[in-house]
Amino acid sequence: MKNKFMKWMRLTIAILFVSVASSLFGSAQANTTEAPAKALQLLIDNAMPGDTIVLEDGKYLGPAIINKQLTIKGSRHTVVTADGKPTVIDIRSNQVAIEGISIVQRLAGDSSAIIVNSDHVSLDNLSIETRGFGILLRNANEGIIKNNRIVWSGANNNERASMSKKNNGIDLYDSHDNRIEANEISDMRDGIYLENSHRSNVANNLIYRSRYGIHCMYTDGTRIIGNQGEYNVTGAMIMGVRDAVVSNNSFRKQSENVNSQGLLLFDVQTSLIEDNVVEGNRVGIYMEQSSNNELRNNSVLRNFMGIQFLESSDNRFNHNQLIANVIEAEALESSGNRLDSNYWDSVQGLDVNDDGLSDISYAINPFYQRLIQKTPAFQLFFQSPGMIYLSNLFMNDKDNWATDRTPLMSLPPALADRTNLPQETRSYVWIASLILLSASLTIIYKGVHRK
Amino acid sequence: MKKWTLGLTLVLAIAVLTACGGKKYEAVPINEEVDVCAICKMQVKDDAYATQLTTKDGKTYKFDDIGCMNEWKKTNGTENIGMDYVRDYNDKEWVEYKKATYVYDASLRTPMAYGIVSFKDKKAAEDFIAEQGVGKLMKADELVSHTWEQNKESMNMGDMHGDGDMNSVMSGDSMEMTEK
Repeated sequence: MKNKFMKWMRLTIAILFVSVASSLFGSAQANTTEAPAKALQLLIDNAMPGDTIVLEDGKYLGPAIINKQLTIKGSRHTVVTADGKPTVIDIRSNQVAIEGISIVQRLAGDSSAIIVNSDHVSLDNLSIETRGFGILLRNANEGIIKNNRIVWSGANNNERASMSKKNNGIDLYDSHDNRIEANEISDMRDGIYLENSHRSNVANNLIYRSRYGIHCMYTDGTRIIGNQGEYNVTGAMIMGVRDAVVSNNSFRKQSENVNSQGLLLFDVQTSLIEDNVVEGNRVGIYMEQSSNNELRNNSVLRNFMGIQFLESSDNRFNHNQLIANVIEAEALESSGNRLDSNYWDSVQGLDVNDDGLSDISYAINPFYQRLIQKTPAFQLFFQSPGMIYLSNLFMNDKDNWATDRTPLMSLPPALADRTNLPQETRSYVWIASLILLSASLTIIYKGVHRK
Repeated sequence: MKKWTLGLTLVLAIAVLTACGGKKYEAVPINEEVDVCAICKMQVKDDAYATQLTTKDGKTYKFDDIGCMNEWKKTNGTENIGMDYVRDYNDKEWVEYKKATYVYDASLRTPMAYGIVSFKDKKAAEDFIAEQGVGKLMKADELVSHTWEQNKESMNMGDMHGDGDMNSVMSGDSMEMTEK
């Protein structure tokens, strides 16, 4: 009797379970197929100039051409795609604003999520996932691009692709006076690429795992302020630029590639580079064919090579801090650069008149650098006694060495926190060493005890 | 017998020595991970704008734009160059610098904005000019007298609003041939 009852119970439970599961499954399926993607172009065509279109959560299908003054708003769950078309949203009217929505471009190559061909456009708080470009500006002036998130879509499923298969996050050509602020860009080719585009304001962006974080080609009056770059091939590649301001940026850990550097300046004239932190890069600041620039108050920390000047003359380099770099500085074929009042942690100075500046100048011997430039394999002899001996023999050209006439005796206290390791790293070190200590004590104690 | 061996060794030695004497140059592939332009220090992309030269002592320099290679020649001279190569615009085949045909126009976008692209035959170059509607056909010896001016100024000052002129602007550093 009892047995029969149990059997019956089991059957009922099984049936119940199956029905519940199937109904759940059924409803879930209904949810995903429920709303077919709406055509964004229809909504735009039906709107009057000056209207605001508020998109609901859900899918919208591009490509859409915006040829009148409109504001389009939505949330992260408003997703616009374009089904293999080269552009998802094409903005051709002035004063268009797009806010808050997500845009996905699945076509690789020259495709882009957004192309802007007009002035005074605002792109705010968008989430862009792309296999091509993120945002293209062509002949588009005085726009504002801020708070956007741009990512190469392969990054989500841990794909790997060579940099040349990817494209740039924000790409400007022939577009002037734009503001690019507080965007987060990752896994793209160049994060922000500016070509023939003048007076751009690039501020407070975060760019990582890309080729060049910020890449300027032939721009005047560019302002690059407060940006952060990490794990890029190069943090900022500034080329063919005059009258730029590069300040308060931090470029850290650009060291994965054999050609990495924090900040590269090539053919840069009359620009100001100040208050930047370059830390843990292969080369901190690299400068070639650049003249009449002022580099001051930069923190150059823990790089393989701190500063490298090549064919660069008449630059002023003062009040910078060079700490814990493997090679501090190198200058080849560079004359007329004025170095003074920098803090070099390897300086052995002498301050007789107590003004905080050493009365002995600090000259950087380029012998080792010249040697490894011709034959890179000689890097094996880094800091070998023979190399130091040889370097000391070749002193005859000393007047042309990069020389700090008045190196600082001590690090200015205001900068001490900027040059320190972050606190959390230190606590990790403490915890790790405590664990190691207790482990070794236990082993010693147990080992002795057993005997 | 001994004499015979000696003779053979001699012949072999001569053969080896003469083989060493004739130097053969060959274009090396571009490795995007490590190659940077010897002049401008930008990454050399494995695209149609890449160029390279090998010196007589066997050192190879790669460039991201033919204009950078020209800069190198200006600084270092051309006497010591064993062979120099450019690439065919269409199929990226390496072509000897002297044998290639060139097309220049300021509006062509190349990595360092020198505006010169190269072709392995004249026909392809002419087709390209017809397709683009602009361009000046040049042979290698004409490049010597070329101005090598970089296009650092905005060229389309005219209104291009509204026509979505993305495709008529040539591939440059920021653009490349579509691949899926």
